[in-house]
Amino acid sequence: MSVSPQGYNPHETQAQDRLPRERLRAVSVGRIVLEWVLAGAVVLLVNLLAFATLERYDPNRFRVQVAVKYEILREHGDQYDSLILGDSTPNQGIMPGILDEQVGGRWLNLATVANLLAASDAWLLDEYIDRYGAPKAVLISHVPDMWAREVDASVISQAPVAVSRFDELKPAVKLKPGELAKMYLTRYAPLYSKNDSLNELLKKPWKVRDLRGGFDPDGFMPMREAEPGWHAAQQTAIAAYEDKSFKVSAINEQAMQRVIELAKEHGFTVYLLPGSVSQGLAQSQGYQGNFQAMMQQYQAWADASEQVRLILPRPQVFPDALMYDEDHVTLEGAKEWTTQIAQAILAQRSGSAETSEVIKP
Amino acid sequence: MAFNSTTFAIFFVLVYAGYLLLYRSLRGQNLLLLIASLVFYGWWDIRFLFLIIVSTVVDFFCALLIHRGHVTRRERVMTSAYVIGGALLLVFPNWDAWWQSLQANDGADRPGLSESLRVLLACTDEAGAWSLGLWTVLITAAAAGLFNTLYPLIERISPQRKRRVGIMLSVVANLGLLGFFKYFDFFISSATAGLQSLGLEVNPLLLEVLLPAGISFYTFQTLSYTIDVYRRQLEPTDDFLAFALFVSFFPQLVAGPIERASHLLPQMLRPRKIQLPEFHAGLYLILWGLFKKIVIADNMAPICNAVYQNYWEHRGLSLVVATMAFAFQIYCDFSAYSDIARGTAKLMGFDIMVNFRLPYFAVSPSDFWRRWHISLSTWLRDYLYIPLGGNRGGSFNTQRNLMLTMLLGGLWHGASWNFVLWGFFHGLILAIYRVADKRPIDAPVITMRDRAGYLSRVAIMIVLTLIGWVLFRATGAVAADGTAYGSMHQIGHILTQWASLADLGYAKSIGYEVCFYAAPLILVQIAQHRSRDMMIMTRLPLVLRGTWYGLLIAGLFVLGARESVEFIYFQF
Repeated sequence: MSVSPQGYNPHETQAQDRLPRERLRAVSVGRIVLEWVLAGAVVLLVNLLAFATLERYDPNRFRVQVAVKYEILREHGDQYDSLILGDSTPNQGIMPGILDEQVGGRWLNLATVANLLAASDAWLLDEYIDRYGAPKAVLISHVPDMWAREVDASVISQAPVAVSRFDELKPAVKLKPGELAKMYLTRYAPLYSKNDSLNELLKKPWKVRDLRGGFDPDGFMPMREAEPGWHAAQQTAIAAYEDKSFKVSAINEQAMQRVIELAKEHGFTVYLLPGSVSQGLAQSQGYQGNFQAMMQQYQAWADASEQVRLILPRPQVFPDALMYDEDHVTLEGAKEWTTQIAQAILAQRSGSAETSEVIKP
Repeated sequence: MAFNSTTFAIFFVLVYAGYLLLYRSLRGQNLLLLIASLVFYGWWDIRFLFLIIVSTVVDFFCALLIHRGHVTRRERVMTSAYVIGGALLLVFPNWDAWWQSLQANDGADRPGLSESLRVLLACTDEAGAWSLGLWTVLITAAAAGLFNTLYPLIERISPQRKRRVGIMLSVVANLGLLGFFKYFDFFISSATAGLQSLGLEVNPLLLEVLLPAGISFYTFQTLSYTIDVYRRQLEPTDDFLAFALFVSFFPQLVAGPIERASHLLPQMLRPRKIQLPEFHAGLYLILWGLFKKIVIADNMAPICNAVYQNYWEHRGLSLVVATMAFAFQIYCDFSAYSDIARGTAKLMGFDIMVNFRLPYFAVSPSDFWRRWHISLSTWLRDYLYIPLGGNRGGSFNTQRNLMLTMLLGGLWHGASWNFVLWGFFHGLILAIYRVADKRPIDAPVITMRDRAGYLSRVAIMIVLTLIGWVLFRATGAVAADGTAYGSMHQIGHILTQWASLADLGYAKSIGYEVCFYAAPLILVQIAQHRSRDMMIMTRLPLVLRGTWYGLLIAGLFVLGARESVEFIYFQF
């Protein structure tokens, strides 16, 4: 209770006098302007520092993944003649080394993340052809729920392409002014757009490490141990699939048409296959419905072009011991999956491949 | 509309631009601020604006009646029109149904104008009975009519009785509103529980009405006005616009500080001049307030909630750390609101009282209460403790008055027994300190021994404050299996398990988070404490000052919690 005028605390006056006060400083307009300009400059400087730090130590694995894939393509792409494209399931599930040995050629894993859509496959393939000529073969693998996704400017901006060039790419991304602003903010204002990563870096600086070291030179990302508690995430994924019905968004359709067009033009083979999946998720009705619809779509693309082949037309199920989470495999799972893929490619080439009939409803 | 929202930023920029444009017209500025304040408050629930209008009209009228014994015809007509207009505009239209009809028919099927008007102005509810809005308008109109009819009778009574009628009317109206909306269900359900424990079967009538935001703040503010007029410490104003603005001034309307009319009302009545030092301080207060709310309070909230919502799973240090997180959360949340309120007011040339002066540096409970929520503690002192007798009448009476004041102060915070218990706890430690600790609050700290003594007093007070926060925060919890645990179970568990050494790993991890987010606050407060200057950071050299501001802004982006948490004191 505060002191009463009657003074139930005898030290009232003395105490009141010694409490902290607000002492305002005399200040001029110029000084106020200057201090806020300085504050703005500090924010810009911190933003620059954040930008530079994240270039090297971004704790967001997905952003690093995209950056690394483009970097390998641009700096070492000439050493490879066949490409693995797709989302994060082939990124950590298909080992180029095994394909080199069993199928032949020099395979490069350029798979990125699902949110970059199939558009990323088409862009990487285009850039590869521009720089080094046509590949001998291309392998594309995606999870079913990727195909319905639409463009998200902040995610697409992760592809290291000049902002002004996005509408020249094939498929083109036509950005509205708001999306363009979002893209610029995402790319050049990490204080705003990558605050979670920066928060993590500030909070646990001793855990800072360069995630680029987690990739093999051929682009494969080995994951040795399973994600703790992934079974809980699997339940979320099962529930999410229940609410989804398979469709192909316009940008993904355009991307696949571009891939097919390039394959026809340059005469290379495109192998389409589904992404890896855990037993739990594969058994769910939602996943199965989406999977079957996806395989019909794959078949339609394969039917439309001689260059496109469908391989392993069934859910790519692995036991829990080989799973990193509900739709990614560990290194051991990757070895097994890649071996199956190699055999399927060889079977395709020899004409004894399993057909897609098994997956037709 | 919360201070930490984009909506408020846009709102304030627009209001401020208009305010500056109207710099030549005091009435224009006041009218703009009144409209802005009503919009600000109505953003939560437009119907509750009516309560503010009722409170404004009643206290405006009562103060005039107390002071000069009559209210002019013009004043009566104006206040009657204001209150009836308020009922017609705010409570009668069925805003909820209208809004829902718009949502439900989003797009091509949007209802036409006539359909919208039909929904909005429906006089009956779904059952065909007259709507609550219609009843409110009729009752308001009848009350205004009755008052104007009976006014000549009031004119005839003696001046002394008029004063008493005026103050009684004001107290009954304000506490009636507060009691009805905030405490009715609490007292009924508590009485029901008491009767049921005696084996009596009762079916309580619970209203289950929403608690209007900030009702405790503005009722106390307006009540102090009429009481001051009654005590002849203040002359009432006959400028209704200025008075309405005093009651609903948006920066401090919802969560204080609870201003005194003697301080704020004169600022509504004379032209304001925006002084550069005030403007400068205002900008800093807003920035620092946003930092405290978004970076510290909102990041502490999930740490505390995670433990308190599953408290039975925790032991020992993790309970202590979670309580510390709450101590930081509630201080930063509430003082941030006061800072932003004071900052926005300063930008417009107003001065609002300081509400916090480093409460966690207090050396005793009485020191704590001169530093924590100062506007409430001084209110309780002036309008409750002293009228009860204060420290006159011997030790027993003083202790009784202290305890009553603190119990009611606790109840002011919320209609729940844990707040009463919190008030009791503070009353108890005030009483104990009064008897046991005769050392002066601000004893000079010169020698090492003084320093050790000072630090030990602060440390003991922090522990006591934390125990108080356990009582305050313990609102009960529901387990995953649906089992509901009450406040008392929660308090019992937390206070008896503090000493356990279990749960160390978890305590370490949340302890690190608490230290990480609290570090800037602690550093700033040490500087404030040592300099005895709350604005010490604005007195840094220019380069350091600019850098500090820049770092605060960068901190808002990087460390700011993405999940916005409503200001805690809105519920009070």
